[in-house]
Amino acid sequence: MFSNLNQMIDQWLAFEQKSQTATSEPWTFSTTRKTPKINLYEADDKVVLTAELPGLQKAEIDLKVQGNSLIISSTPAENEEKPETYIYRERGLTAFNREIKFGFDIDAEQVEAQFENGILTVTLLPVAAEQPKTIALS
Amino acid sequence: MNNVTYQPKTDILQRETGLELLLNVPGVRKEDLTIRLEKKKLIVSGKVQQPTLKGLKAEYPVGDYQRAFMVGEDFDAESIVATLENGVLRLKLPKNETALPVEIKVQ
Repeated sequence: MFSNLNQMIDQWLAFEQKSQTATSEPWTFSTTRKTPKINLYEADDKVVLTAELPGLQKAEIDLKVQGNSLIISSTPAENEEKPETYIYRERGLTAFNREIKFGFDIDAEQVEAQFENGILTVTLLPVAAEQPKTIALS
Repeated sequence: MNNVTYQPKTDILQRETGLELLLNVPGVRKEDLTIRLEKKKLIVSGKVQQPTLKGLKAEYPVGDYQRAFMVGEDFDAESIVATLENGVLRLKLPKNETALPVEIKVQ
């Protein structure tokens, strides 16, 4: 089922920005993160996606599955700290919305998601392919 | 994947009673964190479990965290409070009472 999975992932990743925007704008102190970086793993017939989202609350993360795409978005709560409280600042939370397209349709019923220690883990299964039909010769 | 150690992104905040540090350490469990105060050096290390699954694509590296901070002598190791929530380590460093400003009354 997954013989060409790598190829499909390569295809969609080719359209994604691979490097984090933060590194390309060092003068902004890397406090913004427009899209979270993701890692993908393979387990049996599943695809496991992880993303580092430290500082977010579980309730602030939204996941949507539509056809072959998974959409991760978040609108974090406003930072209550006054700017003058900061002596040094590197961290930052901004709203983001990232769509990840797979080469297969995701079975929305079987998506599992966890958020633990600031890591989001989503397990995806493709929609079960139709069984090949045997045609009897007449 | 590798044995590279990463520096967690950190915010340092000024509080009335001392300093507060916020460190991004996603993937670190409470039991895998060590915080040490050696003389004037505050060292935070966190171990991260390496994924056991077969990797397909990696946009971010997975590795342990370590970062050291030089702190003044105004802090006690005993009074540092550390909490871990959603991958963020919060360290509260209250100043010694002797280091806090003292108001002097006019006779």
